[in-house]
Amino acid sequence: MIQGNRRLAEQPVPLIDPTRCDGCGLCVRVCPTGALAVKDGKAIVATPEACNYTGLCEAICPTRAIRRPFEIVVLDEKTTKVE
Amino acid sequence: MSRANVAHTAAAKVLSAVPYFSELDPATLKTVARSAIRHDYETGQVVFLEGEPCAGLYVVQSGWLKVVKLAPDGREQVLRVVSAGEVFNEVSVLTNVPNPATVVALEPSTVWIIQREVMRRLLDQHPRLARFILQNLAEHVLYLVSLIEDLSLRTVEARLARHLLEQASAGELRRHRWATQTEMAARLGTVPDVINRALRRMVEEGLIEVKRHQIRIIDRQGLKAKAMLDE
Repeated sequence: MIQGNRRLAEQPVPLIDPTRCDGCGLCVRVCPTGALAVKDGKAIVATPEACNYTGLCEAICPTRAIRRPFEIVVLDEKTTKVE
Repeated sequence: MSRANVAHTAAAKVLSAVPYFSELDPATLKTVARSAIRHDYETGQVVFLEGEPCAGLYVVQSGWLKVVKLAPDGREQVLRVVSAGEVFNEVSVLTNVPNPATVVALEPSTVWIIQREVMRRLLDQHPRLARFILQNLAEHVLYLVSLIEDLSLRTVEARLARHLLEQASAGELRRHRWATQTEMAARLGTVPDVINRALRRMVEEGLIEVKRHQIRIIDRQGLKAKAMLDE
């Protein structure tokens, strides 16, 4: 389900499961940067470039429809900065 | 005054200082005090062992005692510490089980035991006493629940630390591993909220930092220690 591909790495945004989302709009209201919107009864990341990944949407969603994928990396002298 | 009377006056005094016995009328208090049995303990002495048949309700007159669970390997988990004016082993009054824990004196202590039958009769006749005991037990349950939560959170942290290290080093540097907190929770046998808190604790401790979608391990040794991996 979660692909470790380049597209995801460029601008990761929270994943919203449309089968769980009931369009309540709480995530839209709590998002500090206005990245989310409800369209056709479901929440979507309408403005991905505005997303700060704060995770307030994930925390507030009553149906747990929103999940943020995380990348786990090690930062030390040997690792180059991950793009 | 006979020696027995002096002793039981002391018992009555101790009992009247305990919040829920203070509700009793003097005559009842005296009756209870007269049936109370006094025990003195030295530092380190065991008051009773977990599993032994319980004697009754214990009221602390003086001293400092700990209520513990002992693991077979000798590890000790302190459930509670009691001092003068406090009561322990309320559980025995309401149930028929043996002592649920071990109690050890931390300094020279004096306790009074009120036998189960005496307590049961009291509870039947004094609903307010029953209510006080219930409230006490409920508060104790709340405390134990938070203790359990704490203990299990620590275990999750160790598992999470190990998981982060494994995920970060799997494959070559270029292969990034993605996981949601929900997936991590399922894998580690817990719930996303607990993972969230564990991650935040690790950030506070300077082991990792979370920058947008990246969980970055910044203190690998520290994280190893947290995972309790030896190297």
